[in-house]
Amino acid sequence: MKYLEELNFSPDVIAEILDNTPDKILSLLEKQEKLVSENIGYLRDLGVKNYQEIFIRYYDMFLLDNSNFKEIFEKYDRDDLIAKLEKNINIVEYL
Amino acid sequence: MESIADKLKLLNCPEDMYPIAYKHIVSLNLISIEELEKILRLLLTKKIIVPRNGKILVEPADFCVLASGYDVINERINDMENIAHELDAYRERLIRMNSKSAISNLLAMKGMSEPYKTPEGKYSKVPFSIRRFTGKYGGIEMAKKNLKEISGKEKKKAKVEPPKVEEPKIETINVEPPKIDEPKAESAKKVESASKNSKVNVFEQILQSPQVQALNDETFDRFERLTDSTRRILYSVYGVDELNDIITDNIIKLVTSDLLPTDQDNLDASIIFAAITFGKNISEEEKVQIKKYIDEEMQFANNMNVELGRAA
Repeated sequence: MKYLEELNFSPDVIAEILDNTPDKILSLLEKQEKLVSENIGYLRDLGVKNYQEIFIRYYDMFLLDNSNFKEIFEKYDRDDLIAKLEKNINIVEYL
Repeated sequence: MESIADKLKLLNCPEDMYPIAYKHIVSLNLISIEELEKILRLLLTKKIIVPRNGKILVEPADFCVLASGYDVINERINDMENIAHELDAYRERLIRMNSKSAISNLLAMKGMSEPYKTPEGKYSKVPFSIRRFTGKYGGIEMAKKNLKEISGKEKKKAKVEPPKVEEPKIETINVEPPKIDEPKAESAKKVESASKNSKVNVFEQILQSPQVQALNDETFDRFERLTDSTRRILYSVYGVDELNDIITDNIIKLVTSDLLPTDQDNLDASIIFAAITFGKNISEEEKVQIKKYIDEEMQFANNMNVELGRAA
C-alpha cells in the first residue's frame, strides 16, 4: 500500500486500513493501484477534505470504475456535498 | 454465471435499493452465492443479523464484511464469543468484524480495567480502531503482553469446548424482494429525474432513500407509541422521563423483530417490560412496580383508543 503514502496517507491511517480491511479486498486494492489512486485523487481534487476517512470506511467503493465512481458524487452541488461530508461521512451510504 | 441480483435477493435487498448497493458491489463479487448462504446462516444463528420482512439483512456499506469469507467470519465470531465474550459488539455494528485486532484490543482494555463501553452501554470505538487504540495506549507495552497471555489461555479453553452451532435453514430468509408501494416508487422516480436534470440536495435524497422511507410506516408509528408509553412509565417509576439509548435500541429491535409471537396478548406491554429491564439487575419488587405502571399505561392507552373511536 505504498501508493497511499504518496497520496498523503499517514502510517497510522495505513495501519488502520490494513487492520480493518478483508485480505481479499486488500489484495485488490494493491492490484488496482492506478484505479484506486485515481478515485482517491478525484475526491481530493474535488475539495473533499476528509477523503481519507471516506476511504478508510468505504474502501470497496474505490474499486469502482472511475466514471461510475465520479457519477456518485457529480450529481450533487459541490459545496453542499463537501460541507455535508465534512459533518458526517455516513451520508456516503445514501449518495 | 452467478448473478449479483441473486446475491442481493438472498440478502433481501429491495430493488429500489440497488443503486445504493451498487457502490459496494465489488465486495459481493468476491464471494460465491454458496458461501454467501453459509455466511448468512451463521450470522442468523448467532443472531448477529436478525431476519426482518422487507428489510435488507446486511447493509450495503457492510458488504465488505462478507468479502472476508465464511472461515474468517466464523473464526472472528468464535473468538469474540469465547475469548472476549463480547459478541454484542458485532451485533451493534457488523463492520467491526473486519477489525483484525479488535479482540486483542478488547482483552487488553479489560486487562487494564479500562472502560470499553460508554456510560450508555454502547461499545467504545477505541478497541475497533488501531489508530484510536494505539493513540490511547501506544506507550503501554504491558497491554500487548497482557493480551497475548490472556488470549493464549482463552484460546486453549475455547478449543476444548467448541461452540454449538445449530444451523437454521436458509428458508428463514425472505428472498422475495418486498413490493414497492406507490409513494416510494414515485419518490424514487423523483430522485432519478432530479439527478439527471439538476443538482440534488444531499439531505433531501437521504429522506427519500429506501432505508429511511422504511421507517415511515406502521413500525415507526408503533415505535413512537411505545417510546412515549415507556417514557411515561419511567417517569412514574424513577421520576425521569428521558429514555437512554439502550432502552430505545431495545424497543427498535423488538418492534422490528420477526421472532416475536403475533398472537400474544399484551405484546406491547411485554416489549416495554423487556426494553426497560433487559440486561439490568432489577429486584423483584422493582419488577412488580414496573409491571404495575405498564398495566396502568396500557389501560390508559386502551381507554384513549375507545374515546377516540367514539369521537370518530
